[in-house]
Amino acid sequence: MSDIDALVATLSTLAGKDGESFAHGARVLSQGGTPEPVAAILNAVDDTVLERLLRLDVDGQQIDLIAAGRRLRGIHAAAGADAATQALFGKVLSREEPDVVTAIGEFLTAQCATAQRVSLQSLPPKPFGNGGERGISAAGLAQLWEVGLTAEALPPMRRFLAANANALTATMHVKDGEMQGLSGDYKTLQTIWNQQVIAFREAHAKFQANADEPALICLEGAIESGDAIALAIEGDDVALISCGPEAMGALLSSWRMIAG
Amino acid sequence: MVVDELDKLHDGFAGCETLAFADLSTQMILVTNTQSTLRREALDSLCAQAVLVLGTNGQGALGQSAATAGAVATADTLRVFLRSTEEPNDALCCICSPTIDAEAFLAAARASLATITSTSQSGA
Repeated sequence: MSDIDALVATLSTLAGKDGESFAHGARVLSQGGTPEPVAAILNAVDDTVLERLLRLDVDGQQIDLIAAGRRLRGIHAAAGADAATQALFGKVLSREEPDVVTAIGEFLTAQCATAQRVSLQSLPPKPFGNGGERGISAAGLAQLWEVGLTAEALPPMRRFLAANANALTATMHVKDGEMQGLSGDYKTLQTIWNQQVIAFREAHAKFQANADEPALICLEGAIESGDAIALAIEGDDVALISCGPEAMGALLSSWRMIAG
Repeated sequence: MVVDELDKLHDGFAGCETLAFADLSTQMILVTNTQSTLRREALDSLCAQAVLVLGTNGQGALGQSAATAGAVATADTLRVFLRSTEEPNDALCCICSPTIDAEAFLAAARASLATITSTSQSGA
């Protein structure tokens, strides 16, 4: 990190509100899906009175928004967009062009769908549209994009399962001894749960400083299908899941972001 | 030598703390990376955890068969256990920082274990 980056990071941290965290000088808006990333972005727009360029970092993908007067004026530039979406960059959002507003909402939603971390730097604005075009308020966009700005965050286990749903072949989720959900081909998991999980947890507890601490235990090649299984423990919230063996590293990273 | 391969893997990842090559059949750590400061009791515990997580004699404590690889992630640490594909009783036990790039480390650790196993088999 350069001296200037270090200074920016320090000043940003000092200027931050309680509970805010920073990464490389950027304010972390959402981590592990909490709060919901698009809602967090709209809340950041809602906090922006003077015109600013809001530089988002979505798991390494950069998206530059222009916001002013608690309104989103539009997207200035972004990585990871197809040609049709790129054609929308530089346009000021208007309720008179609902297709553009919808497309921008879909782009942001898609970029953030599996985002583990979304961070924000507030930078001086760049020329954008005409001065008279004000964009759409954050509250208005929340309504149009059906985003709940004050939606409560899901519990960590639910977020973990939701964030990795595409990678999981089966899940069995139990909280306080009550079944919360089953998905995929869960029969193998059910057998393992009934016959082995309690004994395994008791045997493994001696290797943990605190048996109740959140833990993710992944085992590759432990079921006949060749899939990996994983036991995710978050207090009384426990999930037994299966996934392709190639997903183990991604699951570990996701767990650290959500429950670590 | 095994220790050279362990040191190479250790030096490649800032979040890699201890690496140990173990024989699961005798539940013994055979060698660690040079900079490991773990006491014997801690190494014995690491090996016992590897035996529980990976299983022995084709049987695992969790699942239908012994695992080929395992990982335990907590807030303080990430422990990775890899079984050799050539010699199922040989395993690599790793203690890492929870912030390590898990995917990259897993790939590098698998390659290291393959090198260690092939070197051992060739008698080098």
